[in-house]
Amino acid sequence: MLESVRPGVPRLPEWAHALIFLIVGLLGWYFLDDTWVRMLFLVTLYATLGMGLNVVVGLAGLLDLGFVAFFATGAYVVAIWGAPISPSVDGVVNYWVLLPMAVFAGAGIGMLLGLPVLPLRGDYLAIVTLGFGEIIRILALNMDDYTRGSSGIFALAKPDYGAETVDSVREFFIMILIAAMAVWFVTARLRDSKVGRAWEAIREDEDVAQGMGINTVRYKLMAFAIGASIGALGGAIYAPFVDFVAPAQFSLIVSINVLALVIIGGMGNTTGVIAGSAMLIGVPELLQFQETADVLAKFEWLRDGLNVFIDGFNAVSFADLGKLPPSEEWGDKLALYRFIVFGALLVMVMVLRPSGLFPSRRRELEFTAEEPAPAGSA
Amino acid sequence: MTVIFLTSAEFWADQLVNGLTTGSIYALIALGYTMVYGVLQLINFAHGEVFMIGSFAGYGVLVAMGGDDTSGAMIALALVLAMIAASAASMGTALAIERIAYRPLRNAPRLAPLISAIGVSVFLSHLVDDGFLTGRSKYYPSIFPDGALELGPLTISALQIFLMGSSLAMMGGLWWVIQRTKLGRGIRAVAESRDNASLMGIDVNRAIVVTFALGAIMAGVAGVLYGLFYSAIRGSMGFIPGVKAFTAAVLGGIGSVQGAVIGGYFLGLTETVGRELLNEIPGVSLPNQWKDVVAFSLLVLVLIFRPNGIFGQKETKRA
Amino acid sequence: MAAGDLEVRGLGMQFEGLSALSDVSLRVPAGEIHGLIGPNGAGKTTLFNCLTGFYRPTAGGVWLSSDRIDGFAPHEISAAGVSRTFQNIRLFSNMTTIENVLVASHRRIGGGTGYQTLNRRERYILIDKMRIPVRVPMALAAGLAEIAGAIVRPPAARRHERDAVERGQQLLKSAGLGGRENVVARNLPYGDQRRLEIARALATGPRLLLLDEPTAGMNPQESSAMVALIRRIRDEFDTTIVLIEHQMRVVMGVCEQITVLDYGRKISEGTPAQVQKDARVVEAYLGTRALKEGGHATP
Repeated sequence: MLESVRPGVPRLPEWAHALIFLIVGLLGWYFLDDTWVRMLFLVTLYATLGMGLNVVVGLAGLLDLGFVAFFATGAYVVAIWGAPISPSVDGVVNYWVLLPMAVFAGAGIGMLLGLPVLPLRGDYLAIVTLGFGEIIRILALNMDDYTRGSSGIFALAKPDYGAETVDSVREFFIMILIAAMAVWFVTARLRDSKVGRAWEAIREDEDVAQGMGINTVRYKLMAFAIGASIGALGGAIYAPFVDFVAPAQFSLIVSINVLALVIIGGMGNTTGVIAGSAMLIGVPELLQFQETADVLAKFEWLRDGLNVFIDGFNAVSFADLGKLPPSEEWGDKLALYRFIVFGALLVMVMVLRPSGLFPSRRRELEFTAEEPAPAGSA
Repeated sequence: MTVIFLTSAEFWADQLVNGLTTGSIYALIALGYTMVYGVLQLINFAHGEVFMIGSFAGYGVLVAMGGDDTSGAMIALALVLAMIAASAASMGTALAIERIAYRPLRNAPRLAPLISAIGVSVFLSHLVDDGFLTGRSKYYPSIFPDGALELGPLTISALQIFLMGSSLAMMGGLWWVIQRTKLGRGIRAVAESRDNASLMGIDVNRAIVVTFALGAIMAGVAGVLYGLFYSAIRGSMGFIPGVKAFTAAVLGGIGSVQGAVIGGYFLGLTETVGRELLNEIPGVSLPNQWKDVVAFSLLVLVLIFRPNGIFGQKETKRA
Repeated sequence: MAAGDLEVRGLGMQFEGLSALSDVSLRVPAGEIHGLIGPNGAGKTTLFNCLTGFYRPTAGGVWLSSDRIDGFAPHEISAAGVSRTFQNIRLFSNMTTIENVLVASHRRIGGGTGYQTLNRRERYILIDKMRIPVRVPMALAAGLAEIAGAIVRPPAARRHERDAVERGQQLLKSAGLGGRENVVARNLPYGDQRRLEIARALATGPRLLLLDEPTAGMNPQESSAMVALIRRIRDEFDTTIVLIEHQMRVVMGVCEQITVLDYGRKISEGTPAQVQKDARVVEAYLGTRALKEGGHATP
C-alpha cells in the first residue's frame, strides 16, 4: 500500500521483479552446468541473508554488524541435531523438523541479542552487535562438547523429499530459490503493513514515534527477530550444502559481506539487495570459472603490452614492479582481491551515491539534500 | 583465599608487568579513538588499520637498516627512525582517510561515515594481506638487546622498559601539545562545541586534521612497539587491538584523553592479571582466547550499562 | 474522543545539579484551552516532556481524568490519551502527509478507540520455578499474531487499513491539508508543516493535546488562522488543549486560563486579564528595573 501511495515516475512493480528473478533462476538451473548453478546458489543465499539484514538495517534503521551470529545459529542447530558425529546429541533428527527449529532458534537469539541493545543508537549499536557476533564465534570455538570446536561438524543428514534426497547442487539451488521467494514475499508484506510503517517511523525519529503511541521496544525486537530468523534460515540451508559447520565460517567478514551488498545494492529495496549480491558474490565467483579464464586467455596481447610498459617504467624510475601474470589468471587474481574492491566500493558508494546503486524511491528521498521549506504558508 | 599464594610473587609480578606493557599499547591506540570521537562524534573504525600501517612502516625501516644484524648504536638509530617512519606513515594514512572517506560525509546521515569507515578498514587490511602479503605474516627483526632489570620479585626486560618508557614519553608529549599549545586549545574548543569554536575564528577543519594526525602518530608508534613485542605482523593485525583500544577508550569515558590512558592500562591489567586471578579458582582454566572474550564482553557491558565510561557520570534519567 | 481533565501536583524535575521544575501544580478542566507562558528557559517544554513521558519526573504526580499517568513509557501515555507537537517541527520528513497521520493512527487501526488505563499490577506465571511476568508470553503471542496478520492480510485487516486512511483524509481536511496527502512532508511549506504536526497529533485520538509554540515563525495573518484552527479543534474533536506560546496576542486571544512559569516554578495563574496585570509576571519578562520605570522595557 505504501509503495502505491507514493508519487513519481512509474517503475516496474515489485512482483514483476520477483517474477523476473524466479524465471532467470529457473532458466539458469535448467540450462547451466553445475559450477554455474553453484554460483547461483551462493548469490541467492547471500541475497536471502541480505533480505534479512535489510529488515533490521534498511527498514528499522538499526545498524547490525553481527548478523553472522544468526546465520551461525541456523547452521549449528541443523549440525548439532542433524549429524551423527555431533557429540551432545544421540541420533539424528529429520531435517524438515530441524529447519523450523533453526528458524525459531534464530528468532529467539535475535530477540535475546536485541534486548540489551534497545537503548543504543548509531555507532554504539553497531559496535555492540559486532561484539556479539564475535562472542558467538568464540563461544562456538570453545564449546567443544557441543560444537566440536574448530574441528567442526560434518556429515550432516540431508533433507528428503519423497523418495529422493537433496544432495546435489541443483537440488539445493531449488531449495534456496524457494526460500528466497518466500522471504521476499514475507518481507515485502511486512514492509507495506502497519508493522513496516512503525519501523519506518522508528527509523525517522524514534522519540516522536514513541510519542505517537508506537511501542518501540516491541517493534525493534520484532525487526531483530524477523531478520535473525531469515539469517538462521539461510544458515540452515547452507549447512547441509557445504556439509561442514565450523567457527571459521562465521567470522566478521560474513557480516560485512552481507552489509556491503545491502548498502551497495540499495537499502530497503530487495531488488537492490539481489543486485548487490550478484555484484559482490556472483562476480568474484564468476571470475574464477574456467570459462572466464578461457575468455581472458585471449587477452594475452594486452598483458604483453602492459609488461612492456612496466619495463619502461622500471627503467625510468629505478622501481622494481613485478610483471603481470598470464592473462588467463587475471580472473583468479581479481577474485583474490575482492575484499579490496569491496572496501573501496563501500567508501565510494557512501561518498558518491549513498542511497545505493538501485535504491527505492524512499531512499533517494532520504539521501538527497534537505531543501529548505519555503517561508510562509499556502 | 590462601589459594592465591600458591603461585609465587614473581609470577604475579610478571603478570603485573605484562599487563602494564600491553596496557601501554592499548592506551596509545585508545588516544586516537577518543580524540577523533571528541571532535567528530565518530568512531574511527579504520584506526586499527592506521596502527597496522605504522607497524609495517617501522618494519620496513628496521629491515632496511640491517634487520637481525643490527648492532650497537645502530640499534638506537634504527628504533628512532622506525618510530619516525611509522608516525609519518600512520599520519599520512589517517589524513588521507579523513579527506577521502570522512570529510565529504560531515553532514550526511549518521550511518554514512560509519559505513565508510568500515569500507576503509576492509580496504586497507585486505590491501596489505591479499595485495602485498598474500596471506603470510612478516616478522619484526629481534634487534632489541637482552637484559632485564630486577627489583625484588619484579623482573622487567629491557624491551618492556623501552615499551613503557616510550609510551609514557609519547603520552606526555601529547598531553603537552593538547594542554600547552594553541593547536591543542583549538582541538579542545572544537571538541566542546564545533559551532562555537568556528564562531571564535578557529579553523575547524585544521583542528580536525591535527586531531587525526596526533592520534595517528600515537598509533604508529604503538605499531612499532607492538611489532617489537609480539614479532608477527599482518594486514589484519589491527582488528583485535583496535577493538580492545576502543573498549579502553569507552571504559575511560569516550572523548576523555585521561580516560583513554586509564582505560588502556585498566584493560591491559584486567586481561593479564584478571585472567590469572580467575584461573586460580579451582577448575577454571581459561585459554588465551578468553582475553578477547573479556575485551568484547567488557565492551558490550560498558556500552549498555555505562556508556559514559566507568569513570564518567551516569546518564540523565529518561523514562 | 472525550476531553480529559489534567491535574499536576507538586511536579519536580531535577537533573544533575539543575532544578528544571520545582513544585509545579496546576489544574486544567476538561475541554479548556490553557496557556503556558514564561520567559525562555522557564521549564515549559520540560513540563511537556514530563507530561508525555520523555522525562520521568523526580517529584510529584500527573493525573489525567483521575488516572495517574506519570512514570509510564511515552507510548503508554500516548495510549492513555496524551499527544503533542514540538517546538522545532519534528515530522517524519521523508514520509508523506497521509503516512505521518497513519503512523499516529497505529493503535486505533483495527479497534482500540478506548483509552488505556495504566496500572502496575503484575501477574506472573510459573515455569519450572521461574517467575515470568504474564505479559512476556502474551506479548510474544501478540507479536506473532501481528506479524502473521501483516503477512496474510485477512479482509478484516484490509478493511481496517482502508478505514484508517479514510479517517486520516478527513483529519487532514479538517487541518486544512485536504488533497495533499501524497506530498512528502518535508516539501510542505512551513505553515502546512505545523498544521500537519497538529493533524498527526490528533490522529492518536487524544483527550489532552499539548501544543509547543504552534505559531512560532508565523506572521499575524498566519497566527490568526492558527488560532481559529485551535478553537475549531477543541470544538470539533472535544479535547483539552494546553499550549506554550510566546506571542502574547495569541495567548490573550485564545486561552481561557493561563499558567506562568519562571525558573521552573509557577509564579502566577488565572485569566489572561488577571495574569497581564500581575506584577510578578511583568517582572519575570521585563526585569525589575523595567518594573520600577513603570513597565516599559529599556532599549
